[in-house]
Amino acid sequence: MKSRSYPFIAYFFLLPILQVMVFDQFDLGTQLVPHVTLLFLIFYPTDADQTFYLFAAFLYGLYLDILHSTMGLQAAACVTAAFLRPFIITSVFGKNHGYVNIRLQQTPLLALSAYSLNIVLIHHMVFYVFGVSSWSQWLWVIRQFIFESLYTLLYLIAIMFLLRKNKQ
Amino acid sequence: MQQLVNAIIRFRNGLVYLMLISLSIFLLQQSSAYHRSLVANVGVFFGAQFSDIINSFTSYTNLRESNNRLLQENQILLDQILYKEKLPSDSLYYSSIPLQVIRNSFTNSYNYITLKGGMNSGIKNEMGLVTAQGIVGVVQFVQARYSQAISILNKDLKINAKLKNSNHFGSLTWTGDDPTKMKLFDVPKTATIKIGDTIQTGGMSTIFPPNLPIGSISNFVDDPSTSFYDIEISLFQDMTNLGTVFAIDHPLAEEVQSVQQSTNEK
Repeated sequence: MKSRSYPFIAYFFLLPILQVMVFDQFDLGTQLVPHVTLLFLIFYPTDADQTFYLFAAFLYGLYLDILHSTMGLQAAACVTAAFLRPFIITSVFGKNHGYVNIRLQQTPLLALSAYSLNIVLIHHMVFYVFGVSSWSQWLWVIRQFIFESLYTLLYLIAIMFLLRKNKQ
Repeated sequence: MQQLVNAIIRFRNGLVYLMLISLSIFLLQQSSAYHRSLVANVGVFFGAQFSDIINSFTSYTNLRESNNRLLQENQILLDQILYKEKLPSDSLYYSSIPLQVIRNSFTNSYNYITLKGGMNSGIKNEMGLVTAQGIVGVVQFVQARYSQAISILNKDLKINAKLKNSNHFGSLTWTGDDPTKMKLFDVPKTATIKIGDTIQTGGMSTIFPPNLPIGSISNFVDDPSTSFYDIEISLFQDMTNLGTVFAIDHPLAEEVQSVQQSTNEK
């Protein structure tokens, strides 16, 4: 096993715990929760085997489902975001990016944010389309989808910004 | 054959994705409440520990709000005790155990409540959970220190309820739209109802005692093609804001259940 896999194994187990313990509490009295667990899907090495990545994303989603009692909802959302990630990378970073990893320190924050936004939007779209119990309140669902995506993105950008500052 | 293998290898990611998404949808859609709650039980084991730690921190920040709510609840409980003295003695069989809510979901179709308190505190399966404002859920899984309950905001749960004024019974379920509203079905049109009427627990099981408040009628449909009303209930209890709940202990629950079981077997 390559040594660079170790941090991702740690992220796999620790991020969902951090989500439940800390970020689930940041709902500001609304029903909006920042899904910082998406950092795992965002920073997973882009040159790694895509099939393995899909399985990892699925298991990661199931792990989140168990912690949140949501049964398959996070798994569907995570695996869809993982499946579409190569297309997002091509559209955001260009075609030649296939063999270069997305690195927190080297990639411009703006490009990183655009890439994260796409992952967040896909994840949240699946999360809400599959998770909504009734479409009679579709306006509420759309509003929830938009605001929670932006709220999550805000947290992701803040975390990435802080980590960059720290390492510099 | 070789081409087929090549095609599979070429599109393996797409195929893996289809397989995994189907598996997710299967997990999501499967209707067995047992399997869903089995996974939820694993979640209690892992999730409850974390939620408990967090809750111990956040409870400090909400002290003022909790105090106010406790004062109100005490007031209402006191009123109920005074009221109870006038009821027949059978209502005094029930005793209650206070439990702290450490996790409460209300945004999914099948919501659960995680509670601090389990077998060690005397919690048993199928105990009803109430607050001074109304009913909250039914205990489903009990571990030593934690337990999990099906929230009334869970499409699987059906609760026996009745109209306060006329003793007509119906079945109370959540349709999944609004956490402040539920639906009461199977109330015959012989009942006279109006908006604002109070709905109470029916007491036809050992889960909830009779005559506990649930909510009031906010709307109803009188469809001429059926002989039952379609009633919308506005809940008294705000299900998005739960602090302490009370598990109702019916000391004769096991006896009543064994009698019901033996009747069913006949």
